[in-house]
Amino acid sequence: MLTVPRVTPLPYLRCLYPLILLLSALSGRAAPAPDLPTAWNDIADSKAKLALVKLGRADTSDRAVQLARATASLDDQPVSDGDLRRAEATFAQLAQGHDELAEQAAYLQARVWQIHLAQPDYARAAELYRALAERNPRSHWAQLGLVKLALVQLYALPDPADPAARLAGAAALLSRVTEPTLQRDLQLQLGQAGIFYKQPLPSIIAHLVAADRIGGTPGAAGEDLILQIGELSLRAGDYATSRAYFERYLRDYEVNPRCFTVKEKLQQIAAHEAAAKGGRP
Amino acid sequence: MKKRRSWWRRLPLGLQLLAVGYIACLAWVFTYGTPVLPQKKITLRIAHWQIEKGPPDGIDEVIKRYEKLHPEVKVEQVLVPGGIYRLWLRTMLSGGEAPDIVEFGAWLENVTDIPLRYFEPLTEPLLEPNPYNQGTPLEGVTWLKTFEDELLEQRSNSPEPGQYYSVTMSRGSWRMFANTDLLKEITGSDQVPTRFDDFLKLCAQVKAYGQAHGKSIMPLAGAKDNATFFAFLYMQGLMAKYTFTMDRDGVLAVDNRQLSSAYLEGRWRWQQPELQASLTILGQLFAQMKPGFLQLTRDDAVQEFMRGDALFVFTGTFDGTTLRRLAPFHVEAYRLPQPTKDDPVIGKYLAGHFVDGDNTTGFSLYLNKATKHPKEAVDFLRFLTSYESGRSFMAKSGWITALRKVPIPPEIVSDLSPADGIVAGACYCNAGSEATRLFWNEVYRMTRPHGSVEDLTKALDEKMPKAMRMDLETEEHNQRLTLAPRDVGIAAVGALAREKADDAALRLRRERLESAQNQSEGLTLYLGQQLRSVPRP
Repeated sequence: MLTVPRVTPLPYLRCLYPLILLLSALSGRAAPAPDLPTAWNDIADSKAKLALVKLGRADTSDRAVQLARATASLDDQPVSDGDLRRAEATFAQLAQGHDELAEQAAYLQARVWQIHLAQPDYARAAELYRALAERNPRSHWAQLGLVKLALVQLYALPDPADPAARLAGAAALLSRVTEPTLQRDLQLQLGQAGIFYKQPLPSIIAHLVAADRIGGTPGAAGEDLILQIGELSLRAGDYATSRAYFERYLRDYEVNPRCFTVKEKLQQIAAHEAAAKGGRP
Repeated sequence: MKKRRSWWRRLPLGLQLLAVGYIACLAWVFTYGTPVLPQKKITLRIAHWQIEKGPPDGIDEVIKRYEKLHPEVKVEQVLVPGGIYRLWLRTMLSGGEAPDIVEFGAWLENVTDIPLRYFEPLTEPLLEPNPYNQGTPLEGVTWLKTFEDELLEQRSNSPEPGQYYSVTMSRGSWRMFANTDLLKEITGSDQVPTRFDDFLKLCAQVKAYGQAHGKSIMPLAGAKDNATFFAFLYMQGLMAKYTFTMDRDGVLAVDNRQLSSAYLEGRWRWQQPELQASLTILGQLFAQMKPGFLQLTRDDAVQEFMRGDALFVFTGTFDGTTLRRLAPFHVEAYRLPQPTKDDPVIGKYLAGHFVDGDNTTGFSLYLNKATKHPKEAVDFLRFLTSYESGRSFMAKSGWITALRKVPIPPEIVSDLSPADGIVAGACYCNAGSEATRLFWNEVYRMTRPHGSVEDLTKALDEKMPKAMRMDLETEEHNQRLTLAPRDVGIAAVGALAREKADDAALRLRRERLESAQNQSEGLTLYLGQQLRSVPRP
């Protein structure tokens, strides 16, 4: 007689019940810790909504998660001033710490006042940038904040009314910006502001040349910088500097149609130099 | 004796089934090697308005090759007429339905907010070599450097300094396309004068010929678009000498923002002699088009030319393929006749010969930020702008590729201009959305019977301050829009850099983002201060 074996899988599984119940209970009580690097990557890729889903909504004492949530909320469209004020309060609270996260939060708090709110408060932002730089001047966020402070001083704050005093105030920050790339950015901005406020050419050129010496200005600004030094030096009568920069432009940016005009400028310089030597152009 | 059961039969049925299933799966994997369920295809969509003869065929050819190489990807080309493109694009983008890759132009009116809101920068992939260029003369060259102009225009017009938002497909120039059969019939020659005054004489000869033969033949095919092309090119060139006097920044060019600022500061006026003279030249060209041309579009002008009702059509080489392939007569492209320094009207204000085309590339394709397949879309863009694709696109479309080192077929070599002219920027008639709208609304004061340049410039100077101010305010607003999202990006990259202090690529990305934002922020605040310092009209 054929014997059919009895199929009883349940007794084997019964021993797993307590484990299954424990896992279910744990998953119901506490969500797994958010994957912060992935969330930050999403934020960097302009996917704030996705990042906020990953970061979850549960109350947390994890400051890194709080910072990530508040940062993502700045870009979670549509953003209301109410959202921004809540984020600002979070940044202010996180800024009370004594680590790099606190410095970043302090920087972002200033940015909310300067950039994000519909009605910027430049004075408040400047105050926060200054406080951050006082607290930890070597911090990268403080250094970046000093560049922003200079920009606000150059164009947005009501005082001083005198352009030369504005420029001097912003230039005084140069000695406190020790990171080379940020110092370059500040030198460049001081040069541009000098043009805007119609300052003497030598002071403008000095800032632009200083920016160029540090190098690496990204985008079209790097290309324009070479031309600016060449052209402004020509206007200031410094033919040697002008020639050097125009020739460099032809070497480095041969694809730009402005090279045609640069070649004409070099002919003008040759004519000036020949005239200065008493010869014929 | 009790018969002992085999180990297999002693196993519970569940485990037996599991084992059989496992063995079946192994057999499938090692024999068939394909998924049980068909793999889901990725569909990429690419939208553009280059629906002239040529480009869609060129892109189709590239798509076919790409799909063979990547069977899991399907690429669809979406052709949208230029007339509705802006509206269509905005609707699709705001509805989250826009294609993965879209054509866009920084010069399009009333859509300057779009790039930052909806497009993703391509800077990082552009700084790496294009893998599809392996085994070609462009192998190992960074993607950016494979473009003839290294994406100069895309860098200059980037909504965020330091970032590239698009790649380009082609380049060309401005040309006077002639019906050479008709030209020979009228003049007995296929030569077109190079001097502007001689060209005007030829135009008079064309009109006289038409009258004598009872035909309605105009020297130039007429449409507002073609008139805009004339205005764009001639006003930049004719005004170059004066434009350079407004170059306060010393960058040997003046962009539209600087032009608007200079106007608000009172550094130029439409009624000044240089502008009056330049508009007089423009008026002489407009007078060669049929009455009412301002109500017509580029397609109307092409049809007028195709019917043999106009001797020339002035347009970009983007129309070259359509004209050459569809016209029932021989078509030849000629360089533009330009006034010279002995011209009685404009001569004393001229800087010299100005460009009628350069190496600047166009047909810009942007990556939709909301695409579900960003990696695949970037990969397709790489393929589309690779050496081999450049060659097949050019052969099929008749458009010159944007890529370097790709041999150009002899029949279209004349579409390229040598670097023999001045570039000064500053499109006086197209300075900003509002200023442009105002100019073209008022231009009838010059083109109507008994109209005059004086009537036009007086009206423009009365109304332009408000328009220029609105343009600058829009510019400042748009610049400001760039800052907030980038703040978030900088914070995110900063947080990632905190975890990976030794990651050089991350550090570089952070530096670039911060520096680009410092530039944007400087410009935004600069604009704000400038607007505050100029009294409201």
